[in-house]
Amino acid sequence: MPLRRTFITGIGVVSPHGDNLDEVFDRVFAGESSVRKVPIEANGSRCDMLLSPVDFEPGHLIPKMSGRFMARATKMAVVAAHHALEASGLLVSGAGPAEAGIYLGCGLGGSDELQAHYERFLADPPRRLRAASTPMIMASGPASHISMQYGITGPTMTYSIACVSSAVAIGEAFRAIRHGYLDTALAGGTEAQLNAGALAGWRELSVLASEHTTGAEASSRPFDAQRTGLVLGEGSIILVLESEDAARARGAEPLAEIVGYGVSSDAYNLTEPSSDGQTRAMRLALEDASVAGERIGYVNAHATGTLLGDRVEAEAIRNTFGSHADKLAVSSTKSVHGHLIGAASALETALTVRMLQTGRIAPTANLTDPDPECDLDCVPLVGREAPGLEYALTNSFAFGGSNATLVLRKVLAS
Amino acid sequence: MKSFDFLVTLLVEEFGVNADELVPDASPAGLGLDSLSTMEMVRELEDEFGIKFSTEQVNFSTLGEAAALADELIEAKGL
Repeated sequence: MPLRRTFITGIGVVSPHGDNLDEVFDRVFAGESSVRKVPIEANGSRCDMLLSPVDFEPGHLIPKMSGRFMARATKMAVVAAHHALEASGLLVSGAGPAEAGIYLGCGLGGSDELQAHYERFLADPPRRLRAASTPMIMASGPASHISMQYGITGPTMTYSIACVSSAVAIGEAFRAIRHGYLDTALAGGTEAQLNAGALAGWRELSVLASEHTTGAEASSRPFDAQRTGLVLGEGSIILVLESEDAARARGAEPLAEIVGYGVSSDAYNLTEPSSDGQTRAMRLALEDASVAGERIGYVNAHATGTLLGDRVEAEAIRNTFGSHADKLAVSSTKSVHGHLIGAASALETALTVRMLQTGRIAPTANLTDPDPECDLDCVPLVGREAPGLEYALTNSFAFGGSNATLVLRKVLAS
Repeated sequence: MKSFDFLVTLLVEEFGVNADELVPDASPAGLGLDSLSTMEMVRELEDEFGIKFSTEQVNFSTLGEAAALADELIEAKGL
């Protein structure tokens, strides 16, 4: 069977910048940060943490009966799936396409319920435990609930690979459609781990940003010499992927095309990245897309705002693109929305789709003092008009040395 | 009947069941409660009144039956 083209025909977002993708993109393009100080309470004490939270209320989209058995990451995913199906025109009488697949990334599953369960269990005296805790905690809960709520009966896959979870989910869904296993898939990610227990673990890793002198909103500073670390965010972003034939048959308007996917492992270190592994993921993605590096106009960098991570990725981009790296626009939108871990790649893919559609490249916000070791055009501070932008890459790199890159193409007028 | 009143409030407020459907003869399945939901309902009941259903007692078929069992357990506890 010949390889089939795969299009994105709908996007649903539940993000720190809201749930309307057009408005989310406008705010990201304008460099408007969603990072703020959030009070976190635990063990009788309270501290403010820099986070990029979602102001989330599922409302009527989740019935009370089923919502009672959903962790926060699941609720966000079910709502994002609703928005994606609705945007694609595939939501009919509350149901999605029955034979579609669901490919989701999620880092820490129902971590809010995990914390609540342990609090009840370890209390003195122990408090009553919930019968539903285990199925609420499992990382595959979000995909399962999407399947049940929208009557989707194809494969229900969950990829838990830290920060590349949703890039791999999208990439594997792309492969399944490309090779004829599926016509339609919901693919993306969800993450909600802004609770005291999970945050304490992150704090002990010493990778979280401290507040910048100009304010909390300026604290996520990828590629900037004043960076101090990453800012954690949350949310869910789901894309509807369809084969060319399926989209065409129903007259769906494609938003962008996925043309390549590369994935690799560093086999090196649990937390330190490797430019070799990242370079391999980018090269494999370009090879998969049969696109020369010189045709790429934009890279949505993984860059989280850690010194080592930013520098290694800059090196990997140079290794991949050679002299063309000087002509590339590279930006990290994490500068405004923070790091959504298992949903990060999906949000960045959605934003890259909007960049291809609008011919406008979002900037790296807060980049006032560029790190000379990241010698790339990182689109500092101000978004850029790029009407000729046709191909873009999105990079995702994870703890454990997992790397994934997607290649996206603008839909050209036929 | 205090167990039944508790169940009505619980099922309306926490499970989203329509109050009109909450009659003693209503079955959990008929109200849209699956086995997990039913188990959670029993746990709430146990927690509220400091009682414990045995494995056999959890196999009730109507809300009225569950409430009657709970009332018996509450009464036995008081002795």
